[in-house]
Parts: sequence; structure tokens; C-alpha cells
Amino acid sequence: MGKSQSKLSPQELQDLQKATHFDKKELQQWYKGFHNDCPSGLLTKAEFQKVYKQFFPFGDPSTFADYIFNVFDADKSGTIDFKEYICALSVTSRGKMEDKLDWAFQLYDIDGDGKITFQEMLSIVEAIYKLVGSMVRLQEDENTPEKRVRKIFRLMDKDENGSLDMAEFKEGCKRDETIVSALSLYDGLV
Amino acid sequence: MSWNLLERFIESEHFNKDPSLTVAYLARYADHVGIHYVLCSKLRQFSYEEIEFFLPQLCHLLISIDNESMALEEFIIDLCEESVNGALLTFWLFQTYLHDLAAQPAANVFQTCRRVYNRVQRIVFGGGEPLRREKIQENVLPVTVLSSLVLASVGLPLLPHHAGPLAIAQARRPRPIEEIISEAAPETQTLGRSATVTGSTSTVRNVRPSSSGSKDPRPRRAKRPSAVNTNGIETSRTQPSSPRTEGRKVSSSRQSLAVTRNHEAFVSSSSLPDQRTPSTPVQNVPPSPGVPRRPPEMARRHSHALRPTTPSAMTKSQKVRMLRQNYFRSQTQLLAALEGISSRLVSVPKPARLSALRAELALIAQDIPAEVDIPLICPATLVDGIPSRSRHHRIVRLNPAEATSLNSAQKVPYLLMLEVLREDFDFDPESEQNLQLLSNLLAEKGKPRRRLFDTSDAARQAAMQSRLSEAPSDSVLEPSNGDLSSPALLQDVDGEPSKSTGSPNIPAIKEPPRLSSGVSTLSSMASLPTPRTSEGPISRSGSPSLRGSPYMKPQNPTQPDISALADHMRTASQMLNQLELSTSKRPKTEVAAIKAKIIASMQSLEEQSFLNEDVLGAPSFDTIMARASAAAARTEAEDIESEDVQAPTDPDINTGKGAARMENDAMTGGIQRKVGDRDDPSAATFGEAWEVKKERIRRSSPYGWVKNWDLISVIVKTGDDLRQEAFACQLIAVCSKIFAEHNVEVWVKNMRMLVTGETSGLIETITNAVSLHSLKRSITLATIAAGTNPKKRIATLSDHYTKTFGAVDSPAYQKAIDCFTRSLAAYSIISYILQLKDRHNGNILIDSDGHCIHIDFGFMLSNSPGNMGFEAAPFKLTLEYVELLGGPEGVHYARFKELLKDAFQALRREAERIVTLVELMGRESKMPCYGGGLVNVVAALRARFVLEKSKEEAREWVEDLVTKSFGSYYTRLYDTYQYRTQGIY
Repeated sequence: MGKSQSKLSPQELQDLQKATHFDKKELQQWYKGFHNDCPSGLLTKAEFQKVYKQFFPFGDPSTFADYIFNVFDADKSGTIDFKEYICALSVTSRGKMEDKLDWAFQLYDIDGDGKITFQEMLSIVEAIYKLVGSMVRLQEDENTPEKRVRKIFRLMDKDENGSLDMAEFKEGCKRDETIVSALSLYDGLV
Repeated sequence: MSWNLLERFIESEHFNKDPSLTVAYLARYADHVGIHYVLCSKLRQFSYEEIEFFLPQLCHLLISIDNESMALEEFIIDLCEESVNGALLTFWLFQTYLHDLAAQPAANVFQTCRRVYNRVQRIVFGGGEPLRREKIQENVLPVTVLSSLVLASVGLPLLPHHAGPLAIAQARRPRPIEEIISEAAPETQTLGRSATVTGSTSTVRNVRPSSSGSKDPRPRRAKRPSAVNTNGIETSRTQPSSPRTEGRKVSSSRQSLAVTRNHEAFVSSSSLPDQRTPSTPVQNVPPSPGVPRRPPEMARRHSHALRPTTPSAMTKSQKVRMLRQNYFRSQTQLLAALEGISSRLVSVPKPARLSALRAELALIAQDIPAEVDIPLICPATLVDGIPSRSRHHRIVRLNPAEATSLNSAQKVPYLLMLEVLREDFDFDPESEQNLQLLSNLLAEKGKPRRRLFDTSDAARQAAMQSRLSEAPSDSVLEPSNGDLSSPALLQDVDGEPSKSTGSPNIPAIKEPPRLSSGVSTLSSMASLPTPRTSEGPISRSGSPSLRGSPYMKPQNPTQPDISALADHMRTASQMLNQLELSTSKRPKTEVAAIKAKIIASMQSLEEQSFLNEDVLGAPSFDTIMARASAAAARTEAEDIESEDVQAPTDPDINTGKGAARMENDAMTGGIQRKVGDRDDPSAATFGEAWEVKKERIRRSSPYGWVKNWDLISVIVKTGDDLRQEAFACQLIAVCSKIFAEHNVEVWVKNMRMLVTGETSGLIETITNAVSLHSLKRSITLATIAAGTNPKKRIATLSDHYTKTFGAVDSPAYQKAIDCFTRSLAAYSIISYILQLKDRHNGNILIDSDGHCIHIDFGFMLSNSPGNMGFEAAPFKLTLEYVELLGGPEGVHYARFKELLKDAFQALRREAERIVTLVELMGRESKMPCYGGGLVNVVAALRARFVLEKSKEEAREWVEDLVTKSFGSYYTRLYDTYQYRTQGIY
């Protein structure tokens, strides 16, 4: 591991400070951790898949991990670099609700056309249900991906056109307390 | 790879029958973070009692497995926050591990151990601020999962609730040491054996608040992040902690594991919302009574409330915390004090031990009643099975006169009778009793806190000082010649002034306060609390409100000023020790004379102080009652006994050890118990049956009339590592469960041991049982004395049974033989499976129903006394056992063999439960039973189950075992050896 790699340049630091909610010291600390865990300086899809497999042994996390990887991989290079990683971390841990929802929208809007279709939402929810496997007992009204997506659309699709735009998505999420609290999963812990 | 099969198995009924499979799988799948997490979630579905049973294993897993998963640690921490007893037991266990691991402070295990210990310690002694607020670390991959869970919130909000705790725990995992080093303060690296964890546990716990004049000059409120001892173990035993401050950086919060925290801040932090209160919506608490899963913590802010001064100004959770703190503090101080006595008695010469013991106990008794109980041995009741709603028995009286030191050369265990009121205190923040207690505790706040149960010199001297003015200057020891109180004697002994002896205790005798002994003290002491009146017991039975200040605990009116008494006793002990040291300088006879005098004065002092109530004061009616009721269970040998202790019938026999056992029998008055020590004595006869003794004590107790009054007896022991003993008891308990599950009608005694340190603990006593050795010896001696045994034949078991239970064809006798048969079958097969060794007759008890009970498990699995392989038989089956069973052709003998086969079959079917326990505890184990090497021990254990054999073949195998054991040459050899060398019959 070269010296150049083990530290962020002053310019990089400055840019990241602007782009994230982290200060200089925190960025350096995370950078160090990133390099320890990913000595190549890049987080690959394979590593990504591996950790999900480890965390969800009784489910099938591969599809979900792929979708998530694509959201993290902002430049679609096929790998996640430190900048991409720390930006994701910043939004999910310290971002405002709006920012988080902006970010989450990207996951569900698979083709990136600014709308979440019923089918897109179903694909993601199916991936989540596969991830979870049978370890979580779900309520009757959402125990299949279809039921869950229908529930989401009932809540959010105000104009009932079968797809969610950003405004509907944000509105709907904020109205659902369980979603709001889940979005704050690790607020204050980073 | 798919885990579907494993998943289905984990979900199966068989897997969830009890936690043993979960525990075993935690070891097997240690490297699979997700599976570990699922297994730990499973653990949460079991009851507290089930988890407590396996707590030693769970803690050992944490220590012996170096893995990624944080789930088990989180589970244990949750358990500790939920259950006060869970916290204490874990705390003590980790104390023993710290001791074990202190030699390798750089190792990962030590780091883990220290971390867990510090976390538990903070729950026990600190503010109780939930540790969940710890920041996450730079664990890139777990944090990635955490981020993705946030994104998935919309799709399925339940997902973050389900997997969030896993991801958060893994994200918090401390980073490898190499990474921290550049950041950490230098002192955390200079890892050495700290004073906190070395040596005896009493050293550990005797850290006193700085207010008591210790060397610690730190102001109590000082917040010094550097107040870390050398290996980073928090020393703030008596100093509660602060929450992490908001601005603390990630790296420093990690190091702050070892930061001494500030007390004021704790109170304010405890105003944080308590997640367990119903006001916070708890989403996925399982309906089972296990440890509830907490919701993943949401952002919480510190609310800096003012320090409350009345209970009404406190939140519910603040109240609970303060009540728990009070319990933890009292409980740990009580046990430390009790164990301290045992350690100190070692230096007291044998004849003076009893007196010294009782004097010291009297000091402790001053602070009782208090919020103290004996965990594990006398478990708390859980209301609706909820661990946080435990109702504890309260120790209300400790009568020093009922305590007995047990004879043993290097160690001094002692037997203690504790009067308790069952289910007398809890942690309900709204009960009147607790609100009163809280007011008292709040009133004490800010003032220097007195250490409870303080037997230290400082406390004793402080007590002396306070009485200086009132105390008449008249020596306690004056009546018995006055030599004890005269400094001249000491000078004489040493040939120099006592001041220069260097002992801190010696100057005490030069102090003026001398109290008259016995009755005169009572009358002349203005400061003595008023003797109990009829409403006394009412006031103390359940309500601490009437206990008033802890400085004014009820005192036995028949006792003189006990702290002065204890002081004199100690001085006397010191002098005895000095005499020993100076023996070279003076004639032996003179030394002996002085010694005798000192001891005599100690004893007379002790008698006057403690015995008048029970011996002189109590009407002979009690004695009569006792004799009458115990008649069935006792032999008439009592009187002969005590004489014969000094006069062995056969001069060729070295009666040392055997006689010592007898001597203790006489002292304990028939309360038999087990002691995990070869040197420990067993009792002689069923002198005073337990129920009779209990009744006698109840009568004399001011609490005796209370409905929930009860008496428990325990042995306090220091100097030995009790962990193997406790493990043996656990294995036997597992066998017992298996027998019950398979309806095998054998009988086993479940014994409990409370391990409180690497060389200390409490042992449950077995009431109403006597060692086989003592029985045989007393009958033998009695028959010789009565002239009915001219050939000096050693008595047999059959003699005892006919003598105690009546004629062979009587129902009582038949019932007793049935008890014997069933217990013998159980212990025989257990002895074979676990290879219990050192099975001499001092380690086998016979109870008043006729059951046999094995005690003392210092040797099992692979080690044996002297590793000589003396006891080569599969188990002990002597001629006299068979004779008692009616001979090889008798029905009882046939039944015995049937039960043995059934019991073996049951154990075979559940062999894995035993094997995995042994395997699990053997990793990185320091227990001597693993001396043969873990792999060998486990292989040999498994082999003994002969799992390759069919059910029928296994029955034949048992038949072979019986043949090999029956009258084994080796068994006889061992018994003869014990008889010849130790005087054990």
C-alpha cells in the first residue's frame, strides 16, 4: 500500500468536506478504515455480495445487493470508490429526510426516468423479500411483494396513474411513520 | 451454499426445546455473522432461567471464540441490562476471565474480555446509561449494509427493524488494535496486570470511595479521561459513570471504554427515555418471556435535567436505575465482605477461628437487613417470567452464633445461616417501599457514602472513634486475665514495642476504647440501640422506611459493641500470629501457655457475646424439641463422638483428616453440605435435623413470625477456584434433566454454586445428609464403646440403614432402600460418564431419606488424585452397597441394574448435549479436568457412550460395567488407602 493511497490529498479532503456532512478528521478516519477493509481502494461487487450473503444466510440477497450496488456506484464504473462510499454514508446517516428520500428514490427508479412504476417498485420489493427469506413474519396485508407494493401505491399514488414521481414518493413516505422511523435507523450513531 | 436445511432445523421444535442446541450451534457457526445473529435471536425466546443455566457457556463462548459476530456480546449486554442477577453473574464470571487472561494483555481475547467486562461493570456500578449509544466504527462493509437498509425502508419498513440491530452491532465492532494504536492514548497500550484484577477478589472489591481516606486524591467529580489504569479496566467501582459527551469524537469514544466517568452526569443522563417503558412503542418484542429485543435505537438527545432531590422529581427509569445501583452496590459489598473474612481467617490459628469468624460476622450483621440476597442459590422470583421484574428474598438477619468455620488446613470456608424474607424487595419504581428507599438514598447523595458491610480496619477504627467518648475504659478481656489488652504482653513477646511491628492492626490495642464484655456492656452503653420491642420485626420485615439511617441498623441487644469486639478479636489473632513467628526466641511451653491463654480469652469473649442468646438464653425446651424431632434421623453416637475425636481407637490409624471431618460434623450440627474441597469435612451424624434447626432459629428470630421467613445456609469459600465444581454440578444437572425427560426414575441432587471470582464463591449446602465416612465411623465407634463390637469391625452401610430406618421388612426401610437404589443408579452412571474420581466415603453423603449424594468434583473427565489411576473401576460399587441392595440375587440389586441401563440409554440418546457442553467449555480452558487435552477428553467422553452399539448391546455393556465395578479390587484399594492414610472410613 503506497503512501499516496493511504491518505487523502488536501484537495480531495476539501471537496469531500463540501460534499458530505463529515469534517476533516472524520473523513481521514473513514478513509483509513476504507483502505483497511478494501486494500485495493475499491469496493467490488463480489465483496458486496459476500457481506450480504453473510448477513442474510437464510435469504437470497443477490438481487437486492445488485440493486444497492448500482445506487452506490454513482459513476457506474462497476466498483465503488471512497468518494462514492462516503457520500452514501453521509446521506443515510446524517442527511436530512429530504436528502435520504432523494437518494432512496434512485433505488426504486431503476431505469432512472424520474418515475417509479408499479413494476419497478415490485422488482425492488421482491428483491427485499428474497433477502429476508422466511425469517421475518409479515402481516397478512403485506405478506407477498404484490400486496406490499399495492399497499405502497395506495398510500402514495395520489393521482392513481400507476407510477410515483418524486413529489408523490416523498409525500407518501413522510406520511408513513414506520417508514420515517426506519429511515432514521442509525441517525446519531455515525 | 444454501443454508436451507440449517434454517429448517433451527426453526424446528427439537431445536427450540431448550437452549443447549442453540448454545452448541453458536460455537459451530461462530464464523457466520448472520447465523450467529439468528441464533442469538433464538436465545431471546428462552426464559431467563433457561438462559441463566447456560450463562457460563455463553460467557465462555465470548472468551474462547475470536470471531466477527457481535451478536452474542449484544445478547449478553442486553441480558445484563434486563436482569440484575444476570448482570451480577456475568460480572463475576468476567472477573474470573480477566484474571485468567491478564497475563496476555495484547491478545484479542483479552481485548474482548476487557470490553465486555467494562460494559457489564458500567451496568453494575456505572450509571446504567444504555451503552447502545456507542458510535459506530469504520467497519466499511457492515456500514454499507446499514446504508442499504435505510434505502430499503420504503420497500419494507420492517427490514431495518429486523436486520438493523445486526448491522449496527457489527458496525460498532471495535477496529483491530493495530489501527487504533496511532490514535489511542499511550496508557492503553502499557498493558499489564492491573491491581484491579490481580490477586484475590477482595483486593478487587475493596476499592473504597475516596472519601474514606484512601490514597486516591482525585476529587470525586473530576472528569479525567486519563483516569485509566494500566490495562484499561475501569476502576470506577464505586464511582458511577457519565454518558458520553455529545461532542466526543469517534476515536475517543472508543477509548473512553476505559474512562472513569462522572457521577453527576449519570443522573442527568438517566432522564433519557427508557426504551423498555411502555411509553416508547416497542415494535417487535417477542411474546415469549425471554430477553426482549430492543427496537433499533432511534436518535435520542440528551436532556440535561436537574439533579432530582426527591423521588417524585425522578423519572420512572431513573428510579429503577437508582434502585438497581443500590442493590448492586450492597450485594457486591456483602459478598466481598463475606469472602474477605474467609481469606483473613487463614492467618488465624485454628482454635481461634470460630471466635474470630463470629466477631467479624457481627460487624457485617450490623448492616443487615439490606437490599441483599444470595443470587443463583436462592433465585429471585420473576413476575410473569420477566427478568426485569424480579422479586428478591431479602437477607434480614445474620446470626453470627450460627456460623461455623470448617476445618481445613490452608483455607477457611465457613458455614453461614441467613434468615431471609422471600420476595421481599424488587425494583418497582412506584411501590411505597421503594419510594421510601429512594428518598433515603437521595438523602445520602452528596454525603460521603459509607461502605456497607465494612469489615476493614479503617471502618472498624472509625466506629471505635465514634464511641470513644461513651465507652467505659474497661477492657473486654479483663475478666480473662487482661493479658490481651496489655501492650506489655506484646512487647514481651516481640522484645520490642508493638508500634514497630509494622502491622496496622497492632496499634489498635493501644487505643483507649475498651469495652466491658457481655452484659455489663449492654447496661453501660448509652449509644446502643434500644432492644427490640414487639413492633420491631414488623417495622423491618418489609419496609425499609422504618429502618431509618443505615447507621442505625438494628442490633442484637444481647451483643456487646461488636465493632470493639471484632477489634479485640483481631488483635488477639494478630498476637497469636506474632507468637508463632517468635517461637524460636522463647521456650515452647511458655509460648503454648500464652497461646492457650489468648485463645481461651477469645473463646470466652465470643461465648459471652454470642452464645448467651442461644445457649444460655434459649430455654431447654428448644433442645428438647430438637432431640425429639430429630430422633428418627440421628444416631445415638453423639456423645461418644466428641470424646472419641481425641481418642482414636486404633493408634495405627492416622486419623487426621477423618477426625477433622468428625469435628466439623459436631460443629455443624448435622447441617450437611457439600464443599468442593478434599480437605473439607463432612458431618458425623444427623445431629440436628435441618427442619429442627430451622424451627429453633425461627423461634429465636425477631423475624420468625413473618409468613415469608425462610432460612438458607451457604458455605462461603475462598482460596479455591470453584469453576470446575460449578461446571460439574451443571453437567450433573443436565443428566438429571435428561433422566426426567426420559422418565427414568432415578434420583439426583441438584446443587448450585455461585462463582464470584477465580478463587471465591458460595456453595449451596445439602441439608440433612452426612458423609458415608462419618456415618460408618460414628457407628463403629459407638458399637465399640458400647461393647457390642469386640472385634472392632468397621460398620457397614446396612448397619446405618437398619439403625436409622428400622427392620429390613419395615416400610420405612424399604422406602429408604428404594431411595438408595435410585440415587445409586444415577450417580453410578454419571460417575462413569463423567469419570468422577476421588470417590472416597468422605465425598459420598447419605441423606435422611436414604439417598446417596456425591460431592466434590475436583477430579473428573481426565484428572484424578495424583493421577495414579487408583480408581480404575467404571464406578464405585462396593460390596456393602450390594449387600445393602440385598445381595447379587436381591430384587433391589436387579432394580438397580435395570435403572442403570435405562439411565444409560437416556444419556446415550442425548449424548450430544453432554459432549457439546464439555467440548465448548474445554476451549482455552484452565480447568484441571481438561488436563488430558481437549481432543482426548472429548473423544474419550464420546467413546464412553458407546454410540456405535445398539440399544440391546448397550444394556449388555452396562452389565459388563457392573461386573467390572462390583467389588473392584481398585475400589477396595482406594478405600483402604484413604482409611490408612487419611483416616477416612
